Amino acid sequence: MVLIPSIEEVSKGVKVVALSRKFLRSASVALLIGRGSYEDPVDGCACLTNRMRLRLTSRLRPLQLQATMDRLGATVEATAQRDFMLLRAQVPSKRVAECLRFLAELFTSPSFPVSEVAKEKTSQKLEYEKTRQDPMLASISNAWEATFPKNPLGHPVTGYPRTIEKLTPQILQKFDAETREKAKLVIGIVGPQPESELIHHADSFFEKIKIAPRVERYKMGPSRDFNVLRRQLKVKQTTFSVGIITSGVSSPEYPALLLIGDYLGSERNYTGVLFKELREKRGLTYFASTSLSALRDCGLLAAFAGVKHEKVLEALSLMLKIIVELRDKPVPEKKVRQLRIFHRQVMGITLEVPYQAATWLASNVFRGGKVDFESYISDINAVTPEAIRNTAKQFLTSSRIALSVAGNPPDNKELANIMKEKVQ
Amino acid sequence: MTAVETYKFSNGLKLIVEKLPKCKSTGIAVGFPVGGRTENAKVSGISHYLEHMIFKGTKTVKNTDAAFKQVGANVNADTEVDSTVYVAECPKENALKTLGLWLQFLSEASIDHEEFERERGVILSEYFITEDNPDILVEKNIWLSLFKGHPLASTVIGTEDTIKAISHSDMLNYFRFWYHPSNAVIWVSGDLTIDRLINVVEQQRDWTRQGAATVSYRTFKPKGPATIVLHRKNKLVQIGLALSSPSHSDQERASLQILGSMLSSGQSSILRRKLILEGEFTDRLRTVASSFRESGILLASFAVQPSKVRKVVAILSETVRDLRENTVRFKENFENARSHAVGSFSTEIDVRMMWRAIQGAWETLRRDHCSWDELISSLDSLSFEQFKDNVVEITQPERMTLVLAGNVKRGAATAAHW
Repeated sequence: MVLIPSIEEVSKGVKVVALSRKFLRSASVALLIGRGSYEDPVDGCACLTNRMRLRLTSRLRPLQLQATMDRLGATVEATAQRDFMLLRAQVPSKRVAECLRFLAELFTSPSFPVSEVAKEKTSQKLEYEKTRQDPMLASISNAWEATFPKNPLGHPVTGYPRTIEKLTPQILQKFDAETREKAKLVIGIVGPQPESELIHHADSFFEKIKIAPRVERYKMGPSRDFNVLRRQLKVKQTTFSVGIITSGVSSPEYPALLLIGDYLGSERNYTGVLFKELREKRGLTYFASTSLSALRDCGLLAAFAGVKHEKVLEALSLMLKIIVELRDKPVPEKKVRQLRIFHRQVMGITLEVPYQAATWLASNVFRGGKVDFESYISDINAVTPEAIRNTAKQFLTSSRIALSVAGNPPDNKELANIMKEKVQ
Repeated sequence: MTAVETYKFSNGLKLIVEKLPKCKSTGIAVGFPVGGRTENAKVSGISHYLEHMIFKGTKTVKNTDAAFKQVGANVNADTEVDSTVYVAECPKENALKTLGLWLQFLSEASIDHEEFERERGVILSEYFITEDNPDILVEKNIWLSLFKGHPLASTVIGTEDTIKAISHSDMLNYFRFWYHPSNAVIWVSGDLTIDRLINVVEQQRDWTRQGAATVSYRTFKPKGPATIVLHRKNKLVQIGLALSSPSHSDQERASLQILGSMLSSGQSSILRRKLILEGEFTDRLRTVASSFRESGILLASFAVQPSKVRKVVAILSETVRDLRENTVRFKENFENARSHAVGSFSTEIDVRMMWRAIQGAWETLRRDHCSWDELISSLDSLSFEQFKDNVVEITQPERMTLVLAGNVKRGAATAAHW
């Protein structure tokens, strides 16, 4: 599959990465603003700043702004991650130019009146609570918290209710002003038009932005051997996550990490070992999966499952055994070959989804990863069983592994003992 | 315009190909009109359980995952109240093989007894997720209440008791009776010609056998309004408001979609304005608008703080009354809602091939044919007068269900006056 997007640095340093897909009815735009919750002066700041962009601008009052989106037929989301804020739009393809103009306005002219900030804060606190209530969302969030204790990377992107409450319009304004001065801006755009036309549209509306690209390196907090986070919840089954600190997108180990994720059971991988062992062979769980979130220079590999309360120790013990085996014995060459093929196919299919492709392109440009699909795949094809084992050895160490358990967790000592026994 | 070709086999099986020139991947869906509605209460959840069992393979192919992986196919399945659809997305060059595998697994599934018992734990684990996730919990209960007394009243997943009670012989009988090619639909989206796909089907003898397993459809008579309170010790209260529509005509369906945009899914929708932009009640609204053979459903769901439930319930009932009694006042919202509905529909079709194929299969099972262009044109051509008449019908009190799940204070639900 050939997928070579055009990348151009347009006026004032904005990078645009565009991909033309002729059969699409719609276009997708991912406007990536290179500052995320890691740089929050108060937890939740990036998230709230970006949420405010979808509430009003200095020209468009609340409801005027939302009516504009509806008139465009656009679905627009404003989210934040640990390393960037994202405005993402899907729009009928004939409206792509208007949509870019609209996104440019959201980025350049946010407004933070006291009363509107107060309303958005209430929404954000609800988002925090909802994440806590949802067993699957909570498992990833808890893995970050357990794996990066005392580090901004471990804090929820939404912040905590008490920190959200502290966010004032002045803090948001200052954060936004700094962002527009310092943050890198990348636009990923996928639509049926030729790439040159898509880039031209992006250039037309973003030319007046002052951007001084910079790169923030993440500072790791002090490591704590086998950190265990327990959370008591009134739920029918308990969810646990094993979190592993990894390297980032541009690191040499990244391709091997991707295959490790696939081997264990990444999203949509029903042949992952965790899925096979915990679900298919033992019927212990509905979901047993992994998620690899790689940032620029570090990342998190989380493996998680939800099981009956009384089965947590059995399932956790099995999960850890499977993970640690990666370090102790090589994955057979035949299996690695299958993983390479699987990864190529899954990525190829994923990138045919316009909004996923737009986001993948923009985030890889921002994080220093590869966006030329052939080159990306040649890195995957170069992964050997030995590379997987070496990568596992490098990352599966006591100072890089943590555990979070939410629901009706067993005793802390029991959990810590299992971690020690299985990992060391 | 997207070109769609249809072929009907002599036993009734339909094959539809949506031609997407130069598309590298292919979406394939094989669907049956089988789901919650075709189950009796004692085996509620059996359709979904059967969907899981299909992945356990046949007597000759035990590992379906490996077989699909060999052809680079990414597979999944979905069980709804009125359908079960098996789906794959794969590279174009492996599309025929992938379809062949699905047809084989769906006709030759062995449903091994030991595997069947093991899978019960997985199904129960999935059931517990639906109980622990407030949003899904509310939606399950809405279906039961909104369509009370009608086959559409189903949670699909079943209950803990029914999941534990389904026997191996129940499963075998259900599979043999309902998975009949005469009522199935095969949908393919990609750069393929229909002739080669017809060959694949004809090579699988079981797929050309005659006979029928027909689903009976009957008129839905709403029995609302209903308010259901589910007490849970969550910090937030999940609220779901649902309305039903009387039929699945193009016009009513378009009205339901546009009403969905006007009421809650549009960025400038009425509830978004009242609950998010002006009030401080919730952070986001989830909207579902689906049309089935006998009825349609519009559902809005969101979470609020327990102290705000009473006020929010009053807002919901006031909004629905206003839509019914003063529809003409919403004329200015109509065009924006229509644009939003058209835009959402266009972007929905452009998502993954798998999703595109599943939507094609649903449409064909529910409406006997499917054309994205027709669906968009039905939204574009709907007049405000037609919309108004449909909205008055859809918002009648007997078509309402409200579900509250969480730490609901006594009397909070009494603010609902439809």
